[in-house]
Amino acid sequence: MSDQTMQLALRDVHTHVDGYHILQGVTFDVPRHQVTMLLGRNGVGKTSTMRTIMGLWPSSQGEIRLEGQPIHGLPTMQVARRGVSYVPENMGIFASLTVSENLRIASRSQGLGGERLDWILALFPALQTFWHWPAGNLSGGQKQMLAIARAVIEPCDLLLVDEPSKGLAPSIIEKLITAFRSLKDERTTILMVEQNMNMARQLGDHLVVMDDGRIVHEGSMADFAADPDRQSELLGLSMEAST
Amino acid sequence: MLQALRDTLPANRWIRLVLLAIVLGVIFTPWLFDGTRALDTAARLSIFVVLAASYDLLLGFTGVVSFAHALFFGIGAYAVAIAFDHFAPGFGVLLVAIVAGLGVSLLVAFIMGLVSLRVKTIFYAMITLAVASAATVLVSQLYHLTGGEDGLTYRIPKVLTPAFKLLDDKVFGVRVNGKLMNFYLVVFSSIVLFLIMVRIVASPFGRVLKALRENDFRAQAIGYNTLAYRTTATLLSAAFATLAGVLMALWLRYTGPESVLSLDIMIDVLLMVVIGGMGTLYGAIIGATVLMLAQSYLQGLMGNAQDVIGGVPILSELMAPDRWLLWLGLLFIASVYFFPQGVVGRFSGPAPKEATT
Repeated sequence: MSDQTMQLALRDVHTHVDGYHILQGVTFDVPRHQVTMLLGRNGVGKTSTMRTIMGLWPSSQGEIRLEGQPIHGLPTMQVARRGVSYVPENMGIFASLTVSENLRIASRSQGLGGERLDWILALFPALQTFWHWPAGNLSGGQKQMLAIARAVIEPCDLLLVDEPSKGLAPSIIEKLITAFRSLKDERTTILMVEQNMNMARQLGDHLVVMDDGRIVHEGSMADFAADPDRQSELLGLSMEAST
Repeated sequence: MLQALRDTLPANRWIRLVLLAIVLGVIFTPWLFDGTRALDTAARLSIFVVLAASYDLLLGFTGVVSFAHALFFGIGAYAVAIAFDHFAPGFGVLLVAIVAGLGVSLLVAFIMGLVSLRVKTIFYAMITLAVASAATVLVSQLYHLTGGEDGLTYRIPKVLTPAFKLLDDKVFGVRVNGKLMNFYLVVFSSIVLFLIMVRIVASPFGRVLKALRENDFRAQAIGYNTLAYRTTATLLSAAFATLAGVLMALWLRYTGPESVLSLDIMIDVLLMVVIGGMGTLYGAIIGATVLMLAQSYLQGLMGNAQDVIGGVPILSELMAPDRWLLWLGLLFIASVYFFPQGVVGRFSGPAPKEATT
């Protein structure tokens, strides 16, 4: 693929945290208007990759390019202002603010309202119901929906989502999948860490597998899903078994 | 403004009633209570509400722990004191003193923020403690300017002194003189300052403060420059503390290290905010009231109690007026035990859960 179709490109990215060499040369691409799934066992550096892209843990070596422009070394807020939206693990919401305040604080440029808000409330009707509630009082699924809504209330060039299905009931996960489908239809570029293979297979276009701080596989999700041997080799399980 | 009040007032009806009672009680103090003691307590209470609320702006809304807050209070008070010590007391001089005080405070706050706001929590607290101690030493050393340990006694504009008679007749039994004018200047200025803080907290700026108090990184990840926000909050907080100091200097007509700069004041303010409830702003009103009333009247009350139970051996010993600090201490422990989120925090619905990511 040529660089024009790449929203985000990581080249030999290394990250050290507290003296530990966490990312040891991560190289992969996030194609534009596609959903890229970042898979791997626990503790291989998936969340660290997300944090490094956001600038929370600055990379010590290598290149991260957004739309061809280097973003490594930028402080987090600058990365955010360039159009990267982040939904951290365990829901990135502000518990003491109300649902509406959570959305309002994220809609930096034009304020809250209009078609964008209507679209988001259609995606997540529960948010309207609890509009004036402190976000801390929402259920786990509602918090996750609020976190995603907050991340996309501003039109973003790249959405980073860290394990959105974690700790959620299967019926809620189905709703999340529907919501992400809708985001996909809007041609939002998404990089998602996910352990739920069902969700990964349903949403993913592109696939990146990590192990021990390195990328061990990159390719199309469709090919990967059709290759049970590859799955058990890379992830230690097959997608069919986990659905 | 009304919208801001509606958005920020504690939801609990009883808390609202208590707040209303306190505000009305202060405003009508000259008619409700006898004596200069009551008037003095009410005026100090209004000033301390502003001081505690300004501290809450810092501690409760941004999570920054500072021990130098009394320093800004002191700067405001000394600005007025030094000005009135050197020049004929007038409102022009007062205005210059306020501007100068604000300028010094903001500069000090900015430098402190520049040096240390990047390191949150304990390191910032230590640095502020050091700066506050240094300032106390400085004030006692610069004797010619500040009066040293003795402080400064000065004249204030005549219309604010008891010698000035506005009306010859009493109004419902209260003499309308400069002292009363001074009282209302202090009380209404305090109310206005408090309302401005309410407005700030209810604004989009206040929303960002609450967000970064909860999770700095998340606020950055939405694109907010959290350092700039925290610095601005520090500056605002210092400015309000300075103005509270100005009011204190006007009311007391005396400014000394003990009355405006000491660590005791800092601890009082900290207790007011913690007892009332951090991050509520209105908690400052409750906390200041509890503490001021306890400090002004607990000793007297205990004297009365001792008279009643005079014969009982150990109990009367415990109730001796000299032991009032013991009971004040127990009051604090009890309040922290029963209201860990402060009185206002306790009655404003369930606490939001801790966030970690």
